Amino acid sequence: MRCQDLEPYLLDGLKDGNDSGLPPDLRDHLEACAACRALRDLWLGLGPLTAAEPDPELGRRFRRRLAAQEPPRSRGWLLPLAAAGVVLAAGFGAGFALRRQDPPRSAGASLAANLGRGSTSDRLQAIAMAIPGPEVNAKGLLEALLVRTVRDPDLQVRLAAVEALYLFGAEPGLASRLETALRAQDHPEVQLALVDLMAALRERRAADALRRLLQDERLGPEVRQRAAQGLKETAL
Amino acid sequence: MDHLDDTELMAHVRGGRGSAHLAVLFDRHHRPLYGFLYRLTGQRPLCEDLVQEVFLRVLRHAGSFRPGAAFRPWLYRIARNVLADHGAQRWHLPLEDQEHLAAQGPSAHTLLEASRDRERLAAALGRLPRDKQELLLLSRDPDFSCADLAGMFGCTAGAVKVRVHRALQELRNHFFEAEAR
Repeated sequence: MRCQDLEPYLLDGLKDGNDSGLPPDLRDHLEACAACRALRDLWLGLGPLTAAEPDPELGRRFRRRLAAQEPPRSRGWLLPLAAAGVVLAAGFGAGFALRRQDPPRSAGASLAANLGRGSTSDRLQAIAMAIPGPEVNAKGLLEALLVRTVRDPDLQVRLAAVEALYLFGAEPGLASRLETALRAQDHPEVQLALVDLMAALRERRAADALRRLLQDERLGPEVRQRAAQGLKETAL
Repeated sequence: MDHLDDTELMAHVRGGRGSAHLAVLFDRHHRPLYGFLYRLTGQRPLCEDLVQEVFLRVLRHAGSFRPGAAFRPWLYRIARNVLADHGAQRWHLPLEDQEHLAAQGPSAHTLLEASRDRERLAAALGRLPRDKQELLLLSRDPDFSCADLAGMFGCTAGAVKVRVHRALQELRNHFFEAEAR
């Protein structure tokens, strides 16, 4: 048995992290040969070297970046969805009106109210449920999300609220509301998230708002730089 | 969507309805990719940018993904290209994260039990040419076969084994040189 004979077995024979996958004569050789043992140990020692954990927020940041990359046509689903929502809402409304005279409690109002209640995880959970739909007062929900974006004491809740706002991309005037929210915002990460969302709207008002942010010297350089990048991406 | 395998998810990404599916792929694969890139760059913010760039390239180049092919080797081919594009920069070796090493638990082999040995190993690895570092790190990934590595490095499976062996010999030299100093 020669040291060179280890070559074909390194990858397959040691995958499990021990010598059990090696032929017996090679295991004997490893016992006797310090140079080959060193190769084996070094190779096995490489495994833990790649065990580094990224920032837990990386996934969230990637989703924002992904949304900002989407071409305008891919956001076109929002309009039909909104239209379908309106039609369905009208249908449900008519049905309820026929069944009873007193209007039911709005699910949207209840959802919106829940956004500001309870612990951080309660609020995050409520935001995860904040999806505009036929039985939901979208406007009320939008307002509640904007309030969370600016006022919530927890950064994760603020960022989650910004993410949820992507679902309201078809709401008229959203860009200027986002700009107002951004100026009322004191956390740069939320400001950056809002800039990404404005860029993802890909509409003229959003581009105008990004231009204003770009020139606003009260904002941090990172935010203004992101606004410039967002403007390039909107490419109106 | 979580029930879909990587190839099925990529079929959706290829079909142009892919953001949500790509996000699932990101959740599945970004951690080991981050570990690989972090070992090679040693800079967390840069590494996080690179990880995102890799997945954005997945979206941009989804059309070149062969239906039915394994996703991870293709992902790491892209990652190596992204690294190469940033190759002009000087990389810094990461210092070992002691807390993380402690969480690894006791090792079966004695030589590399102590974290200082790992630091020496990391330093020796950093002295190898980039492609050898990449090959050695990827060869330790239990999910990559020789055929996968051969696809990534543009050679035969037999050549991969030879290259890994030679790279290890070089690594051993650097490792024990440091000990002799």
